[in-house]
Amino acid sequence: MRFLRRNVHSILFVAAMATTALPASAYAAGEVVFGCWGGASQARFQEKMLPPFEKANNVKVRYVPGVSTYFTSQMQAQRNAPELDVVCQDDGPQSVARELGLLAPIDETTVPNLKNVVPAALGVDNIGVGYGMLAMGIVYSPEALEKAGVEPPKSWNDLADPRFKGRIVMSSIDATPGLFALLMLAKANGGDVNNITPGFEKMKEVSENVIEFTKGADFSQYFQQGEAWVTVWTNSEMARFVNSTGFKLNFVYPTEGAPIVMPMLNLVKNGPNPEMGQKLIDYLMSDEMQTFFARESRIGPSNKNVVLPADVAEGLTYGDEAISKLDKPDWSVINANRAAWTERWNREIER
Amino acid sequence: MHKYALSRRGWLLLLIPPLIVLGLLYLLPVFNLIRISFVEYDPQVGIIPNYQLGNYVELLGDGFYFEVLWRTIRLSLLTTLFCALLGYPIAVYLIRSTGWRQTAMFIILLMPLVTSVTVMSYGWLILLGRNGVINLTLAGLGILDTSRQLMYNETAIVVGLVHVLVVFMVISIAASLQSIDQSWIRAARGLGASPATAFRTITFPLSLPGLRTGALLVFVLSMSAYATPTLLGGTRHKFLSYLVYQQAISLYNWPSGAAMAVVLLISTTVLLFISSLYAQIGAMRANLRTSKTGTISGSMNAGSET
Repeated sequence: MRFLRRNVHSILFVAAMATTALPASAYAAGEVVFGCWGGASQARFQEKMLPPFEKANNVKVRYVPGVSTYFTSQMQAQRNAPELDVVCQDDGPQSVARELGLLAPIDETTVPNLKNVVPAALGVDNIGVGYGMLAMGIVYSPEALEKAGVEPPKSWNDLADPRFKGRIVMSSIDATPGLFALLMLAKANGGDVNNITPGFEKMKEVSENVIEFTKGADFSQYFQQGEAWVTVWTNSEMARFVNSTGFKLNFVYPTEGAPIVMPMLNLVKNGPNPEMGQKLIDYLMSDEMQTFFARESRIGPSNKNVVLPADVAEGLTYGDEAISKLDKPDWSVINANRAAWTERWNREIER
Repeated sequence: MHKYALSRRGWLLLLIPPLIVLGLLYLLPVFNLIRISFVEYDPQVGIIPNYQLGNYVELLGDGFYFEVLWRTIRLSLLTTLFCALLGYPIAVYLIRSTGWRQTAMFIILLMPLVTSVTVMSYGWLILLGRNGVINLTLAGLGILDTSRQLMYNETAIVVGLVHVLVVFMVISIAASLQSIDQSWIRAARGLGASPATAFRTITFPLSLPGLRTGALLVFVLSMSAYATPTLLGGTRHKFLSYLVYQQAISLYNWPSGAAMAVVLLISTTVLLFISSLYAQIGAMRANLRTSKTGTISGSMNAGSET
């Protein structure tokens, strides 16, 4: 770690030398460094969402693609001289970064749009803000179930039903769907986040039905190849998959409840350009951008001023009622137990 | 003399850049890895620079961990064996063929190395999946009545690793086959040896160094393989590399991941050491035998088998 940190200094030094040698930036307000998702999301941000912000504020947004856990390790390595200003992280990994003291709080004076945000999306200790609402539930292929003459799943406990034997694909505990399935199975069988054993016991039965516990949370190929009928996924990821492939899938809110997944925008502590970082967060929380997220990324908006037409709202976590119905997992307890649960999962579930 | 000294210095100068590159890109990171494997980690605080043996004590007292290590070693050895059995005939074919045949063979062998992991995993799913080509063919021929899951088991891991790594075996065997002086084989044939005998007594022993290099390469690469075992074996048949990834990336526990990586490094090195020791003993015994019995028995053997 110390070695890395020392290197960061020398790299920064070289970078600083390089910038002084270059002609002054074309942007009066310099640049702001934004770490967010790669792939199709990156294209959406860079082509459609960020250019108006750059123009209005005369600033360059440097985009660093990555995933939540990657940004946590980056921020940890750069703790003494952060290079990132704003990072996108899901609420789970964000809570780790927050507890490690890597993120800074925001408020309404610098991010005015915070006053339009639904309470559920406001970060703990004012750190970070949820820019969208996703629900984690059960996803199935109606065509495959019909062909097999099998009833669709309704509850988390249905995952253990023999009618789905060898037809469920699920992520491992490393990714959120597997973790949440474990939590909800605990809840469905008399346990909770502080008493996870009932979850493990039921998950053992579920694992009889599971073809494979995947490392990531991309299940597209399993459905396209007709391998899987059922999985645990968020409504947004499913909607994006349906949009891009035309493959028919249905989302079920299980009877025992569906936990919320919330991608968040976070200000990095001691980042190089905090002023522009806060402006960027404010911009992405604006009514226009929140509508854009809903339309293009199929993410339920967290800005309560946003009004969606029925066809866009279909299948999204949208509106106070829909949000209030979702379970809010206790991430501080999860983080404290995650290593132990992973060990137990390795031994009892994936063996 | 002067000229010699200069060229020697020239060689040393030439050696400096690769030494620096190796030192910077290999030794320093390995040293850092070993260092990190001794520090403490706390999920609430992060890394605590307090050197201790805790990470190793935890690993070595854990049956699950040994199960995974043993699977890694066992399947790597199997992969090496199948690569040798499959790679040898391919290498023979490769050096005997010329022109487009040789080029085509090379392209086929190198294909898995230039294919992205995602594409390859999809390919395997199309082949081995429940609705895959193999299942449909067997069902069509009436051999199978219900489709069977052919992926996510240890066999699939070995099949996948052999597919990716056999090229290393083929190239090293082909290189040593190519350097064999053909006149020795012609001499043996002239003295009455059958093609099989000539192969057994001349070609095969002379190609052993290539076979050994290939085996070492394949073994080392499969011990550290990550993508192929994870995709084909699934998370239920973990390789040690998977546990390292889980500790370091999912749980941020670099010290524990580093300790696992060091144990992997050490067990690979020890196995390589044993194999080279075995090869040396074998060579010594062969030398002893030839010096005792001379070459006559060899040629008599050759004669008796024709």
